[in-house]
Amino acid sequence: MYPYVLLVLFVLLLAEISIKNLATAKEQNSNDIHLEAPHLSDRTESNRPPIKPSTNVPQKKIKQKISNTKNKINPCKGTYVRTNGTTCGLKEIMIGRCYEYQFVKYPSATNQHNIKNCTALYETFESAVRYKSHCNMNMSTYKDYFDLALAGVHVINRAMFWSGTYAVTHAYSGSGLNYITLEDTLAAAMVNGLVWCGNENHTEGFDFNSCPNNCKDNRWADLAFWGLASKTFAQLAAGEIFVILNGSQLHGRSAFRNNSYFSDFELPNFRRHGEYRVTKINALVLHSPDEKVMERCGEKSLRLLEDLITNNGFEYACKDDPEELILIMCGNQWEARECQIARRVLRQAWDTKLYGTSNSNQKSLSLLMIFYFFLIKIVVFNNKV
Amino acid sequence: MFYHQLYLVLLLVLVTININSLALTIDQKSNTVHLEAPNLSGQYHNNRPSLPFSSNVNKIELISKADIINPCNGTFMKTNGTTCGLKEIMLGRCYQYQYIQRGLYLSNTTAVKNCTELYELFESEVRFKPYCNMNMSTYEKYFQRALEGVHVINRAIFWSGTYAITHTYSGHGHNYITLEDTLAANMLDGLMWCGKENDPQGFDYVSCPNNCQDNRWADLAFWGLASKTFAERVAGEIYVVLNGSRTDGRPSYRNGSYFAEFELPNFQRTGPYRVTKINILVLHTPDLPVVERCGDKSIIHLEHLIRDAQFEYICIDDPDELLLIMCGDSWGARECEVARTALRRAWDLKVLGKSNANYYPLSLLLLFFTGIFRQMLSN
Repeated sequence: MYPYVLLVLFVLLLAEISIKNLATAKEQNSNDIHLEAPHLSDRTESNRPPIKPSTNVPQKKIKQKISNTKNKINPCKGTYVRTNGTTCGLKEIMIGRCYEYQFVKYPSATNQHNIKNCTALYETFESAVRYKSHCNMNMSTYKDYFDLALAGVHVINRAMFWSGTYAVTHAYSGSGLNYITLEDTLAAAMVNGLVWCGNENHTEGFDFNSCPNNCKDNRWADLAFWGLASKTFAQLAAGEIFVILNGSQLHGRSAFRNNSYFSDFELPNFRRHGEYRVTKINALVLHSPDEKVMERCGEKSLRLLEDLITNNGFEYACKDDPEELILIMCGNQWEARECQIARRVLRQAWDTKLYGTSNSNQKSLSLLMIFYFFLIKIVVFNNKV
Repeated sequence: MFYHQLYLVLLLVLVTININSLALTIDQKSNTVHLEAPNLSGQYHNNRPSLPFSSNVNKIELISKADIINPCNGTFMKTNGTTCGLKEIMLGRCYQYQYIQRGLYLSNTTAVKNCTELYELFESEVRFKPYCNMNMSTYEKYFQRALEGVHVINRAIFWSGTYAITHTYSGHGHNYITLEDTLAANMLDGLMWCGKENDPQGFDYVSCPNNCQDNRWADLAFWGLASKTFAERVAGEIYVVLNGSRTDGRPSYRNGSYFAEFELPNFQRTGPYRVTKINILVLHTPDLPVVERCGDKSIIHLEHLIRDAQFEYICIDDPDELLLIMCGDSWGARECEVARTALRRAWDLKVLGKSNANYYPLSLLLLFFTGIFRQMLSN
């Protein structure tokens, strides 16, 4: 008689615990709040012109439509019209960003020795571009601008470079808080994301309707700004530097390839001698969630990079997917397969924090098992008797 | 004899596998690359004046400025006065907002607001005017013009004690819209300014008072009216991110916060652009104790207020979407350790084909030894 009473009590106890667990589990799950996935990276791509390989084969002559600006509406007055021409308000934006950079973003780094006159800086930039034909630009067009904007700057042990990894790199560098990318320097910050091209015939000296990005006779025209920017920045980097590469590139591209800004303008220009030389290059190879692994440290183009670097007398280290960056990758691709376990783990950690126990039925499961053992034992016992 | 040869081959295979995986293990560990912890929300700083608690106001010394050099020309010093280049920064931001951040343009028109006009509307209320004379209607014209035609439907997010993480999550308007993502506030976000009657520039560049003893509304003139106007223009479902791990003894929802004073009371209750539902998200910082959760103390109080106003209400603690961001900001935190390990393993599996463990060769080794024993037994 007694064992049965005990059993019944036991069952009731278990039932209560199970129901309670189920109830709490259900509450958390039936959250009918729809929330957006996080997107840690502001901008996913740089809008620099890609470097096209220089070939000796005469390019197919694309008939350039020189926009007859006289008949086009000025897209900068009144209503907004989307164009791929010079950004409206280029001057105001650049000057505003210059003040913002020096007085709002990095005020403690600004002092009487390195403060730059924003109007002068803008005018140096403008004089290289305005009323000039875009396709006449070359690798020294913006020299004065960079000399002025980057005067006295050295980035020691914190310079970060990137190739095919714009979004993650900039989320990680944290606008210069963690590391400094080219886009975190004054020279580049003033124009990052903007479009501009000079035009001899336009009243404003800029073409607001359309900017060519394919100067058939002069491939350097498109690279005039960002090419020189990359080169100058590379020359200012010292000590240990970091480069973030994409080991999951699509379409057969290599992680390290010719015709990238990194290989054409940055790597060749790292200082090898002197007080402000580069000592070590740390390559971080990232593999995007949900994408195939194409190259890892020590393989193919990364092998090539290693050889280039060590031949130039720099130290080299390579790491695949550092944890610090995995977090950011998952922050940008919330639904990815590789990120699921971590999400669940985070949920459990916070449930423990909030409720003291994780919302799992583990405890009641083990109790249930003990119960069944008892049951079997009793049945067997009864049968024996 | 045949079996012996087979065993030898198997042995060789096992040895190679073991050496390979050992080598890989060593490789990953000896990566001496020192990396900084990520810091996702580090770029966000809230510099609004906090609502002053009434009375017991400190007497502010008005420093005589006549002898101090204008810190914006030449000898720059960081002060807590008006931001240098206020006008240029505001104009630049206005153009940038309207021509570059188009996705953020929250009204239905393609009209572009005249940036110079907007700046002048702002400036005329502040320049050459004593700071402590400002009140809740000072900036009305500015906000009316800057927020003209704006409605934020189902995407507005509010915050109290959670500035940085809310802005990381809202992603500059990508995910949600905060007040700071509207043109009116974007132009001034993070800047400092105060007018001064007898300064040649009309602004005080040396020091801005933030405690006007006779007029508590002076400090709230801008951000108070900004919050109110923004709250009046949000519709549908809205989100509020609260701090459930406050360390200063304040409740998660408290009177004397911008949210309680200027936002909650001004949500539209009727009409086509009314607020229908308020979603409360309560966050608990890693490594800090849990002070309040949904259904606790001040949050219950908030629930009553919301239901009394006929809005739908729901509250959730630490939504999944925000956990990652919290760990991104508190990289070394205890709660984040297991997740970091989980991510590491997931990527080791992805990149190396297996996690850096020796279990495959171990199981083969076991098979091999069972084989040997069987052999010995049969012998």
